[in-house]
Amino acid sequence: MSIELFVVVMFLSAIGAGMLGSLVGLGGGILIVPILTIGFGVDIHLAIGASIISVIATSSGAAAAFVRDHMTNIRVAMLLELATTFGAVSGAIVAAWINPKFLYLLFGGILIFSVFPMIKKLGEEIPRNVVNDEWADNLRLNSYYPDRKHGVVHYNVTRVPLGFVMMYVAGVVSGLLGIGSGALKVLAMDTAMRLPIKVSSATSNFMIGVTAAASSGIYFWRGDIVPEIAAPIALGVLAGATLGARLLVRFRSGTVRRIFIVVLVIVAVQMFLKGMGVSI
Amino acid sequence: MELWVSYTLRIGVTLAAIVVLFGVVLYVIQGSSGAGHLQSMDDLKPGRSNTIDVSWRSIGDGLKDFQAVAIIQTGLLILLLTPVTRVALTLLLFLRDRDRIFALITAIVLIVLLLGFFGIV
Repeated sequence: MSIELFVVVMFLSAIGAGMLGSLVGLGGGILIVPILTIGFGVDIHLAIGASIISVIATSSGAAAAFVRDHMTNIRVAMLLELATTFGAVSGAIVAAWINPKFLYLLFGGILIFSVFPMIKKLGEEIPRNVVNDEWADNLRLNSYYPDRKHGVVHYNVTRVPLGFVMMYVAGVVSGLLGIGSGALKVLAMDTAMRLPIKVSSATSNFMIGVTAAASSGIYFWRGDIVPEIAAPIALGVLAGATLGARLLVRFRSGTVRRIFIVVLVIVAVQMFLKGMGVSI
Repeated sequence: MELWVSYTLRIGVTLAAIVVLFGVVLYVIQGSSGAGHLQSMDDLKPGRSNTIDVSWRSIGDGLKDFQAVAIIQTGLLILLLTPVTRVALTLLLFLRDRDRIFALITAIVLIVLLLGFFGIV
């Protein structure tokens, strides 16, 4: 395959990934690494570098909506970003020395893990009996948001240290694999800190771009972000996400989710196989 | 103020996309002279022999020669800068509200991001 053909095919694939991702609420990033490694045989470090670009592209591209939504808890986001950025930098630095096979296995695991929030609705919509812990009290992390069904919902935040540690891990995973780690972030905020699910999702989306940006510099200056790969991906994912947002109304979310789950599982299996040294 | 954040991000992403697109078009026109290092798909596979040197100098030199790859890299850097800008604006937000603790927290995050962006980390 020539480089030119690769660029064109990659661009089209990125559009597809961007569209699919925006339809199900996952960044296109989760598909970029498998497409590049399994589909084109590209070195996983270069694939991860390109994927980081796609995460930032989708995150910043869609950001306009998030800032106005009144659901993102910016204080929680910034506090936890302290953890994710340090985690991301750690992950990115270490990634160069880790056996790629482990990266494949870890990636497969994260893919499977991402399926669960899509199968069952994660967490109660409005957690009950949540009391601020001392961190939430001192930092005034508790807040409120407008909900169509329940009116204005006031919520508290608990177990901040646990959430902080989980966010560090989410950051490491992001830096190691070049993904946004949205699923891990929502998990940390939802189950550890007991934030309402809508707040967790919105805040997670807010944080994803920053986490990716933290590790992106390391990949860029290491030469792991190759222009021939990153350019079509950045443009394709941006185009795809924009198109996907428009198509969102036409497709029934149930069907899209089911397709995506199947795709995720197939890709996860392939990543596992590659991690164990088997090529198909 | 919050609207400024979304406008700036939108502008940043659009600018990055335009620069990258321009670089890609130039790449197609210039052919292998614009690429510099990538000859075939084999250069992307594991165990490849060439290592690409990326530095402010290499990009600067490339821009002087109007090299497509350098232009693409510049566009990508602009893209990498958009989340950093968001954090910087958030810092201004906290300073405006005189929230010292969170201004400090945001400043630390911003420093980590800037260190990475300038290649110091």
